[in-house]
Amino acid sequence: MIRSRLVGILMSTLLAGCAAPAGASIETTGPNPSAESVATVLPAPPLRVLPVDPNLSAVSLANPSAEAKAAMDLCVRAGDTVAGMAYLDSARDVRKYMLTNGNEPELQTDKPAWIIQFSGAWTFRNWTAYNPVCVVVDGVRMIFAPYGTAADGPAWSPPADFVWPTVALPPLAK
Amino acid sequence: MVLVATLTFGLVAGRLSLPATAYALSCAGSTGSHFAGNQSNHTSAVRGAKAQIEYVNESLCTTAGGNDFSSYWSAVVGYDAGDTGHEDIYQISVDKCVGSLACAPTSPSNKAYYFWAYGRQASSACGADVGPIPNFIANANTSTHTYKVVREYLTGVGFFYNLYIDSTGYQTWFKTESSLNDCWHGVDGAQFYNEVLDPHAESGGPTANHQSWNQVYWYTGSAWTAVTGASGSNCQAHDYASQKCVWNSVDPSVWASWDTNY
Repeated sequence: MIRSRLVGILMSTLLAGCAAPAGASIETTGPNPSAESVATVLPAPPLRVLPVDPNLSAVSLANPSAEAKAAMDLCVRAGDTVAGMAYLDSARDVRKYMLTNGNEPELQTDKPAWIIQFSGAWTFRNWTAYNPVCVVVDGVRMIFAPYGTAADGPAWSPPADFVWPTVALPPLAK
Repeated sequence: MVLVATLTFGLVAGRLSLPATAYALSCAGSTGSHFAGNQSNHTSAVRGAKAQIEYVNESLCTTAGGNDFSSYWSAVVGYDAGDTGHEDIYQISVDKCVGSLACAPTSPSNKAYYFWAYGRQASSACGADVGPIPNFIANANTSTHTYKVVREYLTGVGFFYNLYIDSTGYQTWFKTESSLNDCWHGVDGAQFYNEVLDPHAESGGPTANHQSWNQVYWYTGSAWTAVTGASGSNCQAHDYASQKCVWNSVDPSVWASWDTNY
């Protein structure tokens, strides 16, 4: 990077002759960033056993539609455990199948959604969610952690206005 | 000033890009994410962040079947008191990963790519927690780019946050202003970090070829303000002993990051 450093010095020399932009020399202050330790991952609490919503169609694991496969590709990794999956006519209906108050900004749309319920601890790097839910709207994936994360600790409880679902997504069909 | 800007652009465009380091180290075992870089904090007053970041094809540690990543980014962040997992973030830049626990679905394995991610804590205002999982934009090229997150306004839409690599906007993945301001209880920081999981993943450039961070700014909503540091001082974050990050001794708005393991 010798050349790059020379370039940096040259740039600095050139820029040193210019007036500093208004508001420059702002020191970085505030909370000091620091390494994030790995939160203790506890066994995921089992999903509540709920009746499967009879209005939803099961997705074939062996022969999914192109749209279903695209959603799987966005959400599912090797080794993940899928408890249920479905196509929803409206993203607003996600709240029927997930612990939430339904206030997610991304779900305030009548566009259709794919929803996948995972079971177990879902670890990505240093982030672990318990029984997370993947939702795909317009080809954009969101991994929700409605049942808490390892970082929340064992005393985690959902916000008071969250409502538990009363029906479940259909499991994948063979 | 125009002449200087033009000359500067030419110099940056002509900069040598960093090749992948020729070797890698066995994984040493992660103790969590570790960072190098700086964060400019302004409670509830940040409306954007941008930095010109030199490309590095960072080497990952090599253990068969292992999981590892190294990334760097521009981001805006929130500081919710309850955000123990530091999930309040909206970011864009470059990521590289191996293994199913470090690569998001659709992320290429062991190949640098542009990504964006958004996360938040659960709240009454915004519902369930969202994990900041990287989303694939495209395979990365070797050029230096400016990575930007910024609040914008569109008639009929209102304020929203948009992502940019240089002048290319990615409005497809925009976030409403509410998704940051309300869900995070304010946008409080502009964050510019290298991040690694394992101490033997490369953070920034190798010792002989530091990664350069230039033209680092945070946005007030009406003006871009330079993020600066004291000459020759360490960056705020340089968590692993091998992660070096030092402000330029001449230009207070430039820093370099590198990894002494490489």
